[in-house]
Amino acid sequence: MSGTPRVQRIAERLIRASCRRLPGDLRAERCREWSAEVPAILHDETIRSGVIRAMRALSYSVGVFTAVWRLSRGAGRSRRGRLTVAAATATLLASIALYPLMSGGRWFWAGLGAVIVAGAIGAVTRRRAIPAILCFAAMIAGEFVYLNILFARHWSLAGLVPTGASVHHLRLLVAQATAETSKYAPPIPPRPGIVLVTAAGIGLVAALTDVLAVRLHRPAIAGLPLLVLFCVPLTTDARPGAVGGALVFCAGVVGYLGLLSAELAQPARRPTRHSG
Amino acid sequence: MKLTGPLERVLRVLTADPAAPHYGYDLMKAAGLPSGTLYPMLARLQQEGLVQSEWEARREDAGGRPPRKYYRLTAEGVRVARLELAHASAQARRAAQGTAARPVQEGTR
Repeated sequence: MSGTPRVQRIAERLIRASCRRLPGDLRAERCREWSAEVPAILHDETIRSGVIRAMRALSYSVGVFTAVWRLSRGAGRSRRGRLTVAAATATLLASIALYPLMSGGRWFWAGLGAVIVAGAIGAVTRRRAIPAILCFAAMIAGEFVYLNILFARHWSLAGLVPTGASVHHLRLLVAQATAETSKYAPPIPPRPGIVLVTAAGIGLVAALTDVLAVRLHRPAIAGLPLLVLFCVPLTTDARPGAVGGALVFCAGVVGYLGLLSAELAQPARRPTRHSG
Repeated sequence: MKLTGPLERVLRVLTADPAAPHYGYDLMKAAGLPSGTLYPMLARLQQEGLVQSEWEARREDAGGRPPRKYYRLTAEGVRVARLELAHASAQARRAAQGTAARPVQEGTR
């Protein structure tokens, strides 16, 4: 029948188009597997009518589209979840590098909250097809609301919504932090202003790391914002001590490598116990 | 593993002769499933180590047909599938007994 090669071409084209949405390493193999099935359907001896065979082949190709959608959705979700956690962990581990600057641990807990806010907003905004820049803007807005709740709750609407008075208070805190950093040598006492500025910095790094590593799939470049956290103590005359400095650097490296390996890990290609 | 209707049908086909390899269209026909349901299921079973796949060796008599990918159960897969299917059958029997509201003698079916 002269229609058969044409149907085969159409079916194969549909399959190729569907496969494009799969991750790179699966794409070629799946495309070969599914294309090889089309001749089997078109030459199926048990179906008498050529028209029905052609319909079968086409419905098979459309089914492949559904299969790709289900495969990539399942793989993508778990992978992005792991990447989000890895990015947040890397930021948190890198933020330990700030410890020689301040006494006490309040800044770390405020920073932990900022990292969680960035990761949570990233996870929510990724579900929709929003441009990366808007994801980032949403994270920054979220960080602002978070810091406002943490430091200027009494001036906010219902303790949550930023108002003119609460923003004014935050600005006073920032001014206070600037004055104190020029007055004291590190480690600085953890006054609210300092903690606010530190948490804001960690939140900014967390937002950049998350957008780069998870949304844009560039975890290697996400190392740059992380590196900023290591550079801050270097620009001051803080003394971390040789052992402390090395340990902190190792923690940062572990976080970064964890982020890279989370990107490289392919859940669908995980070696199985009985692979053959 | 949650045994859904389509999964049960696929496992029945695969356990019928565990050594026999099946290609995708073959399984679709035998289990009566569309490709959009079958392949994600096979991928999941493979990820769980219950199903293995291999490419068909290139054959001279294939007439230029591209090699296919064949699926079959692993040893672990055969064990798990038989267990799950037996469990499902037992449950179906119990349910049938419940609706019949009288005991069905063993061996009648």
